[in-house]
Amino acid sequence: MEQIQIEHLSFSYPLGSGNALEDVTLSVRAGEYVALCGESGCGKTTLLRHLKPALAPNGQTSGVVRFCGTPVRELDAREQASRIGFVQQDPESAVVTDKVYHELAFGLESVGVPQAQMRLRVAEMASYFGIGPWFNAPTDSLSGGQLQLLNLASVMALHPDVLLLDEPTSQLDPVSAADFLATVDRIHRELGLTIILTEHRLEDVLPCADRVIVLHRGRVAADCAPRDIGKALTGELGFLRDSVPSAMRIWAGTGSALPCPLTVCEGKQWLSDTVRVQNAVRRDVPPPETAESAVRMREVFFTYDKQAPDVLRGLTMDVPTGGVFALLGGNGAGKSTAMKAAAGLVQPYRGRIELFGRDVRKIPQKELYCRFVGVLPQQVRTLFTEKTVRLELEAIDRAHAEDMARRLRLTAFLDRHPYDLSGGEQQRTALAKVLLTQPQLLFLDEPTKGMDSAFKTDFAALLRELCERGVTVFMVSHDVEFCAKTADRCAMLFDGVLAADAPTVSFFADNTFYTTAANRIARHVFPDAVTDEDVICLCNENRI
Amino acid sequence: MRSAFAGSHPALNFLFFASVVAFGMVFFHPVFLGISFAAAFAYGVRLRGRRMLKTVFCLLLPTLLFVVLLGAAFNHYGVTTLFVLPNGNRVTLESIVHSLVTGGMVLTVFLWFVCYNAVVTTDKFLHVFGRAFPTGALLVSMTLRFLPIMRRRMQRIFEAQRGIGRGEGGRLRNGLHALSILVTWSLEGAVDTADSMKSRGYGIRGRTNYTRFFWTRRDAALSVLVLLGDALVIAGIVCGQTRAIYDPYICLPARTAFSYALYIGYALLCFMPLLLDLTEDYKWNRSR
Repeated sequence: MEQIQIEHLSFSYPLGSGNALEDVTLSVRAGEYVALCGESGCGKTTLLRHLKPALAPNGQTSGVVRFCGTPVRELDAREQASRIGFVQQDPESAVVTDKVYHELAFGLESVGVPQAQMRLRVAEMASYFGIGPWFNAPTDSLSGGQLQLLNLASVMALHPDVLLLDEPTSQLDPVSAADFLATVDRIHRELGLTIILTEHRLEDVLPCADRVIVLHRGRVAADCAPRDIGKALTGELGFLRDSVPSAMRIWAGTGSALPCPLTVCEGKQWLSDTVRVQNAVRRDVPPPETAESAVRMREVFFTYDKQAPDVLRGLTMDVPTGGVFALLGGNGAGKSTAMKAAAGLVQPYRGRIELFGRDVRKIPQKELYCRFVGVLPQQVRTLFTEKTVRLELEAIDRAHAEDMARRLRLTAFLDRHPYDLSGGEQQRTALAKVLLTQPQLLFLDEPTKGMDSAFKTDFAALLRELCERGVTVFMVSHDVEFCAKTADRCAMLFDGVLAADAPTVSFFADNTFYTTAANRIARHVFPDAVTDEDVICLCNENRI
Repeated sequence: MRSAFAGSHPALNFLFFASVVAFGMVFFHPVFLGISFAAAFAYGVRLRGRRMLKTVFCLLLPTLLFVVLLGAAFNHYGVTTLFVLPNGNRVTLESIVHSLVTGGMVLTVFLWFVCYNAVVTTDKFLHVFGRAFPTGALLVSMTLRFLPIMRRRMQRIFEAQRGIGRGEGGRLRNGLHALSILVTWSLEGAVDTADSMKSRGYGIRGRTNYTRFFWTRRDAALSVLVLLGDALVIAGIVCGQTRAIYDPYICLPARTAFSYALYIGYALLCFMPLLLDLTEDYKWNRSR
């Protein structure tokens, strides 16, 4: 049965130029899992919000959206609150109350479910989503992944027929993101809910989805089964190349005639069928010439609270001058803390940190953060103080503002408010601001969080360019794929000390789980291949 | 510390604290005051352990002593002169006792509020007031969610500004900068929060209130006991058993059998939470 029908929907924002949605017509059957994707700004969030009248954006709308035959705008408030569930992007601001159990009950309270029934539904949700252990906890104590799960459970408590999710994993680390999407998949399989999900990271979504709808500039560019996306990657869907799963990208890059693989497992089998099996011999990587250390940490201990366990437990680490150094690790491993200690933002209670041979504690603040060290924080909004992008840049360095704007391609929105920019543009503005202090040593905290893949490619190029100008980049990240592509040297922090530290290729080639998807697909034949490009290249050389 | 009284229904908690705080604020009679002080102190120690002892001995008792000294030095009414100050003013027993009683009263009420804070957590408070004022209760809950987020954001803002060399140069200037970022950021977040509320049907008429607390027979029985205690004490007030006069001489009502009954009744009322806790401890230990 057709549950949602969209007929000739066009929409434009009051001040926007052109239509955000252009004559969109599609229908979704009950129980389908639809992934809605496209570059940022393609209209996917706008489309999704039209399916939930309470959140529909203001502007010029034509066409109609029907839910079970009735136009959505005619649904009464109670019905649309409970039958159409919506999960937002930012888990922190979507949580309303201070206690987990109260948040679970929030929607039920709103629609006026009686006490006894409410108790049952809350209990059901808590057990289904495994919230029991933190049921009485304050919401403030939860991690991002837990918060998003709580949002989902709170929406599910209303027993919706359709679940709409707007980039639910963009603010989560990869492990929590995969967990979250697995839960969504479970809801779909076990409860038969209709699911429509927008996402720019398709790695984990495509294998679960029944159908993929690609939007491009407000129009439906493709509407097909996930596997069929692969065929179009070399043609009209080229802009999706960087966001599809590695297996699919490698497959498309080799122009194989076999069916398109989606997961690492399928990719591995496909590769075995495609190339002559090698003996899996490792190339010898020449040991890198020992450059002077830009950051030298020796047995650094740090804790936020005297009573709390140590976050850094004798961390010893060297960051070579020049190039990009990436510090990886799971949630709460102490990566950000290690970076802040190196940048002099927090003081370790034991140990020594040197920047280019100088003790960081002895460098005066004024000298340290001007023409020496620059820090790009995780939330770039913490840097924006002014009304326009131009003023932001001029606040740091009037003379070089124009030049920097050109370098980071900000000239088009110099007179816009920084909050009106997209995530990627905000990131660029913040980076421009940091770069204007002319740092020799640039610290980046999770720079790719919430970035779409097209911008990631740009960002990687930008970092390389900085390196050529002699800047040393120290990056803290969860993003394995990005580090593999960009970094010269990677280290993994675990339990407050380094667990591994090596040049990028040998770092990933040595890891079995904590490595890129491309490496996991190809390690049985090409152990040194770390990025998709490596695999494609080796594949084409060793075709059967 | 786990407390049986703290585990009972919020309404009972409220009834009890309303009674003891109200009585604590009107009684000048030293026996009643002593009973209430002892009960508040003992229950406070039970709830908060060494931290309570520290508060009382390092902060409250010195303050009380100071108040008494001050009272004795500036009030000169009363008939029993203890000694005469060099400037000719008398220091009297009545003024010392009166200051002690007044100070003791404030201290006792303070101690009851310490216990209140440990027993009545915000969710209990919201449960009791959520039915009458659902919107107000939600507002309190949202504020409690928001405060730690704001604090954390403020910290991040200061850190980020320092990292681009904006940490130097005037505390006020930096503070204002940080505040303006915080406000913009929070307003942006508030839009998302409003969406999240709307999409879950906030604003539909007939809002209900979820609760984790249940009214048990034990709660009912204890409430009846508290009310009986209140009635007894009020009868005592009506009969003039709780009056005390300190000027010009100390005058307490004559002690009769009713007075002793009243003392015992008041003691049982004030010590009720502690007695409840100790009984449950005893039962628990026996069942092991």
